[in-house]
Amino acid sequence: MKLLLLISGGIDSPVAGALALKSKHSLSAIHFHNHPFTDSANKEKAISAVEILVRKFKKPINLYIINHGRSLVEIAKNCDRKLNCVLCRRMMLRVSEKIAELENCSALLTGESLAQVASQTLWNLQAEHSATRMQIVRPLLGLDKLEIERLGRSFGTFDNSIRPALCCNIVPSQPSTHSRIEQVEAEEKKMNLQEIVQNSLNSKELLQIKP
Amino acid sequence: MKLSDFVGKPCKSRAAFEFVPKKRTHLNLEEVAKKLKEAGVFIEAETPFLLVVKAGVGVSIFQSGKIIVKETTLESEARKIAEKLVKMLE
Repeated sequence: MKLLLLISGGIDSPVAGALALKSKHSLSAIHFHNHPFTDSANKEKAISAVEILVRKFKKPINLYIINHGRSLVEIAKNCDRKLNCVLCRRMMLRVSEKIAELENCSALLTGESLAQVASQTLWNLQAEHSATRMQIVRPLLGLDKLEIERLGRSFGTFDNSIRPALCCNIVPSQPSTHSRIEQVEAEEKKMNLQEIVQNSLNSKELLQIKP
Repeated sequence: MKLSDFVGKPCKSRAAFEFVPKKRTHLNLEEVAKKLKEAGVFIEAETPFLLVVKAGVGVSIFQSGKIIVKETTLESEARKIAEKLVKMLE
């Protein structure tokens, strides 16, 4: 099966990618760059993580880089700040669905781990998933951080993941941990979703990373 | 506001330097953006609770008054940049 890996500069998503590749699946990948709310180190780390996976599993990966900063500005200007992270993830899933179709991927693959951060509570995961019709494979869902870190070390992705990089500055200090789908959809009605998704797709940059 | 009204420390991410006001602060970012634009500072992103400006390096200015100077972990360099911006806000 071919999956589209949503990859950040962090610890979890490269591990999710490695587990899928270990199980003989193929991958394409997508990274959402939050410039100017973060620094370029996150993008560099995501590219390096994909390079590590390609070298280790000897399979090519097409990596799409999307400028996500403009979407974040629209969300911040128009919507309830507490829902920022859920709305951000929903936007990512919509764009990912389009790229998955382009790359003939059957499902999305993420490094989400239940309740690790605010956007990954059971309620928020449900509210986020409703933005896409695609299946989302979450191989780390039941693992704790130490188990994920151990896997990251065993796959050789960990050291790259812990390099310094600026956290996203637009994350609210008190994000919602219990969002409801109808509440989230009401906020999204304040924006032109189609235009935002199209702008994101227009910003895409493709890196073909080969062994 | 003066930079001596802030506590400076490296960011948790080890990739930036932040200045947090010692006293509870609430900035009107619309006014802040206006003043900075008049002073010739380029505003990269403007939201109701966060401004990102280019002052040599990228700088985030929060409604709470917190300032994050990116792309440097050198306190002396970050302090110079933050000091310049804070002066513009007077």
